[in-house]
Amino acid sequence: MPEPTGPEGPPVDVVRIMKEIRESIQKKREQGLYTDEEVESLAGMRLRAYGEEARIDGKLLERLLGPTHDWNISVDYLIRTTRPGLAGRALIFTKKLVRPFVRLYTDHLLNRQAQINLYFAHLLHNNVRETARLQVELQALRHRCDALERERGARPAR
Amino acid sequence: MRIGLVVQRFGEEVIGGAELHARWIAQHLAERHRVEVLTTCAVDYLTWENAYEPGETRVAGLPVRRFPVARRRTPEGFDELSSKVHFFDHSDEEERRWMEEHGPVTPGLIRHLETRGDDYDVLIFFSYRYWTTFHGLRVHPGKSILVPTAEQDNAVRLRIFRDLFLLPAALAFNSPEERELLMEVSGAPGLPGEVVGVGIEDAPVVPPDEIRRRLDVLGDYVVYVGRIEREKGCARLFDEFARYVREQAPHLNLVLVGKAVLPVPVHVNFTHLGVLSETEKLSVIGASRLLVHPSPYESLSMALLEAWKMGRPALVNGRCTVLRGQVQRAGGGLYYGPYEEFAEALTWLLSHGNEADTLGRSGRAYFERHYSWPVIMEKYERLLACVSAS
Repeated sequence: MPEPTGPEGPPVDVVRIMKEIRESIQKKREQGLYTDEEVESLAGMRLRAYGEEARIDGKLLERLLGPTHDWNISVDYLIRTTRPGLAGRALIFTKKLVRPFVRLYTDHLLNRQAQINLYFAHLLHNNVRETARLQVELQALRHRCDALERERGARPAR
Repeated sequence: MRIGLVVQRFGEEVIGGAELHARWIAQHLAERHRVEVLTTCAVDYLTWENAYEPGETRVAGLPVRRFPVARRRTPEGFDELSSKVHFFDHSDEEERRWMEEHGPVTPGLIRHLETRGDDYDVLIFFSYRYWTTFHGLRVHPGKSILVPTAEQDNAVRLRIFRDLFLLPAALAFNSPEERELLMEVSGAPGLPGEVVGVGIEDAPVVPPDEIRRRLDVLGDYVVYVGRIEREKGCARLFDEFARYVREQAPHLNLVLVGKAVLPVPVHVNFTHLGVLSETEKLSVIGASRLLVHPSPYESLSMALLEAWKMGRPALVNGRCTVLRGQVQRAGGGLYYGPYEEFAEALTWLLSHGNEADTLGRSGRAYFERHYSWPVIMEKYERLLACVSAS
């Protein structure tokens, strides 16, 4: 009777992945701590989930979570028009002529808004990271309490 | 070939893994053979109340002959006895009484097999644990195939079943683990037959965005498909998943598809969709991150095959040897024991998107190699040829 497994075998070594997962659990149990990278990855997972819940465009979300700040408001806005031909060129020329005067009033406000955006983004990212760290520390403390209680239970009563 | 297929319940309203398994096999066998389904008039397995008219009828184009159930199952007669024979010291007589209480007691079906047995070249019996199989298989064992659908629970170890697995001319096992289990309980060094299983019916699939909109399923989710009951590990899943979202992933959802025998907790991260059409079910699985299967007892999980058909990985209860074995052979997911493993494996699957997709693809390749309909029916043809020749 043939065994239902392919002659080439499974392409993914599930047993190896499970071994790694179990080793990682064992390590955490022994240390009672998560590494900074793990806390970072946990926080990243949550930030991504929040972004997806808010239904933000996937590309924008990647930029929001990335190291650069190119998602923020830029004062160097482009001058464009949808009008074709001569009318379009004339419109762009006029906008370029007017823009320096407009920017006298708008640049300050946009810069300020960009700073606020950046501040809030940092605040929220750090908050999520800190919450994740505190939660894993709390878990570690729970484990240690459990271990101490077990130890106390195992010790003969005086 | 003239085939009689015996199953405890049969009908489009009947919900149950083994019954659906039987229906699909009957439909595919009917493409090449003359198949008649021999079944009861019952729909509900908890009462065996006669709901259909006895006699000949057709279901999805298949000829069906229904026999009335002679006695209803009652909690007073069954529950206490069932608990005793499964978990406590008991006599052989109590096991025999348990079988009568368990049902469905259908003497007309046995009389039909005795008097009209020559009308069939081969008889196929589904599910070893029911009265219809327990008594029906003894009428013409030499031309019978048993599809045991046995799980590693206490019922399979009852003494009344020891010789049952030695009777049929061949067995169509659902997994290598099931075959080993039956060899162990029957004490036989080998049992005739093949590991076969079942395919999954094709249904048109709706794109993820559309199915999410249609069923109002938002955000990332893992999906459970099947009867929602304690025996399937759902109570433990509810606790563990609630803890996981509280501690690690507040926006992850658990979407449940199937009839709820166990109440689904009122929780912001839980969504119960009820029983869905094949199209909707496969689409919901396809749009999920992964399928979670917490059942400790399975002979073959159709939900797992459905997940692999849709290219999704699975996270299964590692205590179920069948599920763990399938996942390992297919490379189609991960498995867990205690909560820490559940949480860690789930986090791994969610945070390693590419690797999780590879597991899903690997599962699909395994499904196509072993559980596509041409492969399944080729195995049945071999079994039929072997039994009819003997």
